[in-house]
Amino acid sequence: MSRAQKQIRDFSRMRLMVVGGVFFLFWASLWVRAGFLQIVQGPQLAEQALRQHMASEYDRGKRGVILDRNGQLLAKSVEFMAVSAVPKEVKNPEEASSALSKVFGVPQKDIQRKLTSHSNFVYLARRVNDRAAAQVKALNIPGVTLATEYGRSYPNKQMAGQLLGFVGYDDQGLEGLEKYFEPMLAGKKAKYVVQRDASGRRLYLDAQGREMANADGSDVRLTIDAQIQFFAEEALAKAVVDNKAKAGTCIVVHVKSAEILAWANYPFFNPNGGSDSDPKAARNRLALDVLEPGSTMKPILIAAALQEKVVRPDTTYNCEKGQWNFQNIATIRDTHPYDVLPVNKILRWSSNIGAAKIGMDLGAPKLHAYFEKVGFGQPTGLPLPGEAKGLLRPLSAWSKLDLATNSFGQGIGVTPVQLAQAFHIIANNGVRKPLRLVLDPVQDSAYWPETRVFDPQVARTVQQMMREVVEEEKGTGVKAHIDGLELGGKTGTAQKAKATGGYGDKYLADFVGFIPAVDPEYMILVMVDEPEPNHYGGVVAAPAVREVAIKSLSYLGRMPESVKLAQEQRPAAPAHAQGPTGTAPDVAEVLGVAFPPMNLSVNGAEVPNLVGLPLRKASEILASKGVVPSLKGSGLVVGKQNPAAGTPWNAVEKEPFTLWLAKAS
Amino acid sequence: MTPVDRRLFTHINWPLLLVLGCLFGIGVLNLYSASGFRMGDGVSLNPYYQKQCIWGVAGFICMVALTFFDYRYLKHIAWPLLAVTIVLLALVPVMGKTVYGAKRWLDFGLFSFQPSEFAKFATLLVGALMLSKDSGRLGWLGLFGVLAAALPPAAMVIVQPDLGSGLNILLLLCGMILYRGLAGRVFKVLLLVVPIVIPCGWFFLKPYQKLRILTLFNPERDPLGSGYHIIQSQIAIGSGQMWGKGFLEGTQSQLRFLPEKHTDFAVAVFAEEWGFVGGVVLVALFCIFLYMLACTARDAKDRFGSFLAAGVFFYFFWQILINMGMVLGIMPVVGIPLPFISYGGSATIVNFCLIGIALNVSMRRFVFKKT
Repeated sequence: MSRAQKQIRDFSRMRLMVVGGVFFLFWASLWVRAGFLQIVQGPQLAEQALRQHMASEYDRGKRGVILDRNGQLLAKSVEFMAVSAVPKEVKNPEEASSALSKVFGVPQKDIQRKLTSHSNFVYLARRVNDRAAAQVKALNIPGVTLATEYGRSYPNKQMAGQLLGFVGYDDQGLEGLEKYFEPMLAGKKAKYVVQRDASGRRLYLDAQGREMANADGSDVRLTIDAQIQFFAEEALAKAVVDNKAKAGTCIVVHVKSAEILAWANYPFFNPNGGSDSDPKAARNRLALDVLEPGSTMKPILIAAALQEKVVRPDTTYNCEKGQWNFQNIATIRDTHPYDVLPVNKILRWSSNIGAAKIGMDLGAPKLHAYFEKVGFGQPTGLPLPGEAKGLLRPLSAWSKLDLATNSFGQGIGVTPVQLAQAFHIIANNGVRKPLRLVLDPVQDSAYWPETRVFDPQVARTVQQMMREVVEEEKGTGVKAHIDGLELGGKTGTAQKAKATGGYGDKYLADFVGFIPAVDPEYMILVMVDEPEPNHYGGVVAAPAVREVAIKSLSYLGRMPESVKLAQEQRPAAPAHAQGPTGTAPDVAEVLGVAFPPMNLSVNGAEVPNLVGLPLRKASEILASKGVVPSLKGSGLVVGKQNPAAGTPWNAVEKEPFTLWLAKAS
Repeated sequence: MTPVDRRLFTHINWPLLLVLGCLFGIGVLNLYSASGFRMGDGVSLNPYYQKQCIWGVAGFICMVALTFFDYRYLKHIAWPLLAVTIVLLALVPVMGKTVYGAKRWLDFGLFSFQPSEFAKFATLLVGALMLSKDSGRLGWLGLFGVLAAALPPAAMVIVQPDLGSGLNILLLLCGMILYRGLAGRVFKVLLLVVPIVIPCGWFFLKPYQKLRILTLFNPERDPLGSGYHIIQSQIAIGSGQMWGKGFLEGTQSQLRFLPEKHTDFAVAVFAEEWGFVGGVVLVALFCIFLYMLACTARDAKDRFGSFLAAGVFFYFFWQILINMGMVLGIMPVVGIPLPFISYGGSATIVNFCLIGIALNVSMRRFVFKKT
């Protein structure tokens, strides 16, 4: 091999090595780079990947229901559909908005403005009906989605509307019990993780951590009995309308348990919203209206005087023939002139002069102390948002005249529920027990120890005096009398203070009734605000108490046999499906009083025809009967039902109620 | 044509075919995964992997056909092919079909194709023919001769614009020239001139191409625009970590964060699902593949065959290097696919055809050795 050849070979070997080395460098850089990305930066990049692939979503559990004491639904959450859009995903906003405007019946411009907005998410319509939802689904517009949300439904319409309150668009309690029990009722927020693709679409392929079962809100069961509630509302509406009054309230209390069975405010308020829900009517007057109670204060005064042994039932007072010049400051008048009256007759005939004199004998400090003991001037602690505490002026601000007028219920402001609470102490034989609206003591915030305010014999004595008001000759409350029963009661006819000062010609008529009179089981209070032309509590409010008492006792099976027979001519309450009958058809027609969701046991009605109804409507009807149907097939309207329409309800209980669904036409 | 004798059959480069089979198999499998994407309630598949199989079969037939004759016949069609190619390339701006803003396709009604694919063959054949004519290093004259023949088609491809294919042609040619070797004086001059000339190329780049180069150095300057490809590709590869997420489990790909996941960025899907380990195996396979092509060039019985094989080697070498570099974020984003892994009909056929030429050279390495 020549030298030159060897040189060339050496050179080409070197060249080969250089070229090989360069190539190797290229490849090595790929390997190193891959290793750097996958091993060194791997964990960090993996986390970055996870972050962009996963999105957290929140879902709310279903809001708890509100039930009456027997488990009847008063408020429940219903699924609605909400139509929303991601504007940037909507390819053709003009076309989409014109199609959607036809479905929703809103101007095309409004929708187009939303679809062309720069936000990432817009609601196009909320709480759309099933038909509209189906139409939106059929349109299948990219970027427009349907989502389930919950709305609140009150199957009994205006029943206990002011007490229940209502919820806002986001299923959040805004008023009433819905607001007070928000923390309990509200579904909890549940977080879960979904996959998200590059264009931001959420994929629910394997959503993690969805634990909706635990996220549902708790139910709240009230002491209210829907049936008695209905009787109370019906009688109250009649009393207000018949007497051309402005408003009214009624409360029914089971004395021994202190449970409130009915809580009625008139005018009615329908929390479902819509044309028949006047926001002004949402006022929960029982807890918010501060009124001068008038003569209904007298039993409390007398109980206090008896307890302090200032008077005895047979102590007599000169009632000044109905007109008493009080220390040259004012003249106190009675409706009828009386001479000398014992304490029981002062109550029976409701003498203001007698009451004022008892008050003077008791003295301001003691009367004021008893007012505080029975709960005036303080909230009752019932689960009512914004409850008024009434107007009890401090003792130091009381003049002599204040003492006199407070004795017959003027110059003091109490809410109807405060008055009910005070009377409950007398009815409960002198023991103050907090009134209750919630059946489960754990959920009840107003649960505190019982305290004795009056001795049992003092309470009994006052109960006896109140019996005379209804049962004895010329008692102011005789209109509350029910044959076969002995009731107790006290009327109140308070002149209302004018805004300008002094008293005008507007009145508050009220009546509180004990059933039976001694050791009562039930207590009913009715207040009618500004009745005309009749304004006496005994005329305006007492008959309403009587009506509630008769119907409730019949319903509760506490009516004596003799009375029951007499009442049988007119049914206790009209059946749901039969429309207005019974005692107050005129009222029902005028006011559109809701007919009560009857308990199956008292209702002989038959299964209604549900075919063709939207599923939601059918479910509501069945829910009001306490029936949970099992659903078959898919769709939005009822195609077939079993049992058939006309089957007696009592036959239904043994078999499952089945609805076959059909597509909306 | 000499009858195909049995000896030729036994001389077929079976290991190269095996590696090719492995690569193509991995490619189809990976495309199956890359075709999937998650929809609302499941996984949908694009039919890329099926189409790739069909292209693979077509390519395989072409490859076999290219082994049936002695590669030396290719010498005779080298110049005519170049002439036809230039004519076709000249026709593209006149009657080409515009796809994605670039005129690359000629539509003949029944079928349409990209003349740039022909340009690759033409350059390979003409380059091999000219460079194999005499031995010794290439002087100025020889260099200019080769460039004069090969540059027109490359330039015409680049202006289409199809920078990827154009670069491919140029790099293939450069590789062959380097394989031949440059005379010392030429080499020294070029060593000075080329680093000056290449930066000037910057001024001929389109704005989006400039942006891609800038992005390479700082992907975060525009993470949702020009930097998006690089960032998402690196997230995909990196999140695969050592062992990968598993077949069909690549979330970057399934959730469509990874762009061009079945074409240029297909290997990122592979790296995401099979991790560093899978990547090493794949790169090793490519190394073996390239090594075999290099051996074919070394062992070829004549200079023409050797240069043909070298051209094929460089054609694949640069593509693999550039594609992987791009996916790994160390080279700018250029539309160069990864052979056998990326989806692409004409690319698959061209790849198989070039392997066919290499096989042809390889199986005839002993024939006529004595002459």
